[in-house]
Amino acid sequence: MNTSSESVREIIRGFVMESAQTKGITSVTDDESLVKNQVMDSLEFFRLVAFLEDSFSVVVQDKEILVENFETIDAIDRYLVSKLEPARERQLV
Amino acid sequence: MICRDSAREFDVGILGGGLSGSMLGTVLAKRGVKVAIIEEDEHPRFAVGESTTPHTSLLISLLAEKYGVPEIEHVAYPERLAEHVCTSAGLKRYFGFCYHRPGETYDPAEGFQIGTASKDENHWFRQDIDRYLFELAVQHGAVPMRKTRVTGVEIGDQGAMIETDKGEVIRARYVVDATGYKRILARRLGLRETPTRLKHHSRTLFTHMVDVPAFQGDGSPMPLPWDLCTLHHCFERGWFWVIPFNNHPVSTNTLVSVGLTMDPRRYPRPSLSPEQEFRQFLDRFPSVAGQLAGAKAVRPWVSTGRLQYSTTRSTGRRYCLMSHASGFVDPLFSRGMVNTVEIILALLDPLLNALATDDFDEEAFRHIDRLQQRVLDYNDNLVNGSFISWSDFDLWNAWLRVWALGTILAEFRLMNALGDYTETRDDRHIRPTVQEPVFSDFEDPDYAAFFREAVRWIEAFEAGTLPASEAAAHIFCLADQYEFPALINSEAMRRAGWLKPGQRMSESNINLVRRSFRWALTSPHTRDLFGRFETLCRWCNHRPDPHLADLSQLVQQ
Repeated sequence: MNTSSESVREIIRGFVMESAQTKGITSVTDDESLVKNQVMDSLEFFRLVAFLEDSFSVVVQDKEILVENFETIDAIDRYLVSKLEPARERQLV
Repeated sequence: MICRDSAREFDVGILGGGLSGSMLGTVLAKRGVKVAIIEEDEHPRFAVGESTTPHTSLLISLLAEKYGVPEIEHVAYPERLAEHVCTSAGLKRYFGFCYHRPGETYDPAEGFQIGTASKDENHWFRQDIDRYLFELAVQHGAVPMRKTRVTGVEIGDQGAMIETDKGEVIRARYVVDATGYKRILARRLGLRETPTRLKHHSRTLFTHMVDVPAFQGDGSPMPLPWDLCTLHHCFERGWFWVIPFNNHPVSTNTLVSVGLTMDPRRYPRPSLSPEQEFRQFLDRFPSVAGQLAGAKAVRPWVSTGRLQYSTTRSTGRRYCLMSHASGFVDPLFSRGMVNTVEIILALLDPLLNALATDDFDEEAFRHIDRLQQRVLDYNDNLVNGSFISWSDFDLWNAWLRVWALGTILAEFRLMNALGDYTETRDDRHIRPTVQEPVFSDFEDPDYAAFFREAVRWIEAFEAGTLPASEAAAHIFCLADQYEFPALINSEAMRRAGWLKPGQRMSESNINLVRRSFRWALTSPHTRDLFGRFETLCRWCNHRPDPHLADLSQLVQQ
C-alpha cells in the first residue's frame, strides 16, 4: 500500500466519512472533534483502531489508545505517521 | 361445585391478562392454540415493573424470532416502541446508582453509571404496554374475558375447570396462572411457601409523579445527565427508584415513576400515610430531597407489606404458575421482566408439545419449576447482598461488580445465541448448555462458583465475622481472577441492535473491547461504566475515572 502522507490522510478520512454518513453527516473537517461532534461512537473508534492496524500493518498498543491520538483526523494522521516513520527509516537503512 | 355441562372449551386458560399472560397468549394464539385470557380488571390499568434491561430485550427478540411474532419485539426497541406501540415510554441509557448517607449531602465519588449496551433500553409506561400486548393477543385469536374474576378452579386428569363471577365455566386442557402477586392458583392449590424461604426482607411504597427534575448529583463528574437512566438512590437497607417516562425525545408523557423500598426490620411501617412516610425519608437524605421534594403524586400511593413470597412448586399436572405468580423478591436491578420472559420461553415448547400429543406428563414441565426456583433464589441472594452491602460504600462497590459480571456475560452469550438462531433456525443454539447454572441458561459457566463465593463473603460480613473492607477486598480479588470470556460476533451484535447496518467488529476489535471492559468491571476505581470513547481510552490505559485519581493514588500508597 502506498503510504505517502496524503494517502494516509485520505484512507483515514475514508473510514471516518463512512461512519459519519451512517449518521447523516456529510462533511467533516480535519480538525473537527470526532468525539464531541458525535461523528463516531465508541465502537466505531475501536473499529478504527483495527482498521489502522490492518491497513498500515502497525500494532496499536492499548496504552496508545488516547483521546489525543484519535480525536480528529489531523490527530489520527499525526499519530499514524509517527508509527510509520520508524518503519520507513528501517526500510531505508 | 363446578357445573361441567355448560363449559366453554379451550386448550389453555390463562388467568391474568397483564404483560406475561398477554405475551404468552399472543404466541399460543399465533400457533393456533385456543386460548382464553381471563382478566379481573380492564386495560388501561396501573402496573409497575417498568424498566427493561438488555437481558429482557434479548429474550423478547428471541421469543419474537422463534415463534414468528415480530410485533412483540416492538416493545424492546425504543424507536419501534414509539412508532408502533405508544409515545408514553421513557429511555434507559444506563443504570444509575447513587449512594447516600443519612443527614449528609451526596458524595459525587459514590455514584455509578453503567451503560445498558450499544442500544438504549426502555422505561415502559405499563398501562400502554400491557394494553398493546393484550390487544395483540386478541388480534391473534386469544379470547379475552375482561372484568372477569375467577371464583373457582378445579384441576383433574382431563384438564381444568375454571369458574368465573359471570357464572361462566371454562374448561381448559392446561391452565397458566399469570396473576402476579394475587397468585390465584398457588392459593387454591395450597402451594404457597409459608413462611417463605427467602432471606431478603423489603416493603415498598410507590406512585407516579410530576415535577421531578433531573438529579443534579451536586456537581456530578459523570458523563451523562442523571435523567437518562433508571436511577437508584441507595442507602442503608433501602433504595429509591426514579424512572422517567418523559426523557424520550418523542415522549408525550410527563410522568416519572417514583418508589421507595426498604427493610421493614430496620424501618417498621409507621402510622403515617405513604406520602408522609416518603417525605420523612426525604428528610433523612438531603440530596434525594433536592430532586424529589417538589414532586407531586398524580395517583394514590401504593404501600405494601413485605414483598417476598415463594411457592413450594410452580408446575404440576396441567398447570403452571408463571413468574410472579410463583414468587417475587424485589424490584432492584429490574430483574422481574427478565424472569417473566424467561419463563414464557421455557414454557412454550413443552406446552405446545403437550397440546399436540395430549400428553401432559408433569416431567416435561419440571425444568420450568427448577428454573423459577433457582431464579428466585438468585434474585434473593443478589438483592439480599445489596441490602447488606449498603452499610458500607466500598462493599457496595464490590457487590455491584458481582451483579454486573453475571448480567453482562449472560447478555453476551444470549446475544450470540439469538444471532446464531436467527441465522440457522437451529434449536441447538438456544438450548441450555450450562451445568447447574445459578440464574440463567445463558450465564457464563464459571459464574455460579464465583457468585456462591461472593455470597459467602458478603454473608460473613453480615454475620460479623469479617469487616466490610475485608469482605470488599475478597470480592474484588475474586472478580479480578474472573476470566471474563465474552465471546461476541458482529452478526449477533447487529441482530440485537447493538451494531448499525453496515458496521462490523473484527476479532481484534472484540479482543480490545473485552480486555478493556474486563479491567473496568473489576477495578474499584471506575464509576463511569458507560462506553464512550473517552471512557474506553481510560480503560485501555487502566486509568481510574478522573474524579477518582486522588483516591486511587491514596489506595496505591
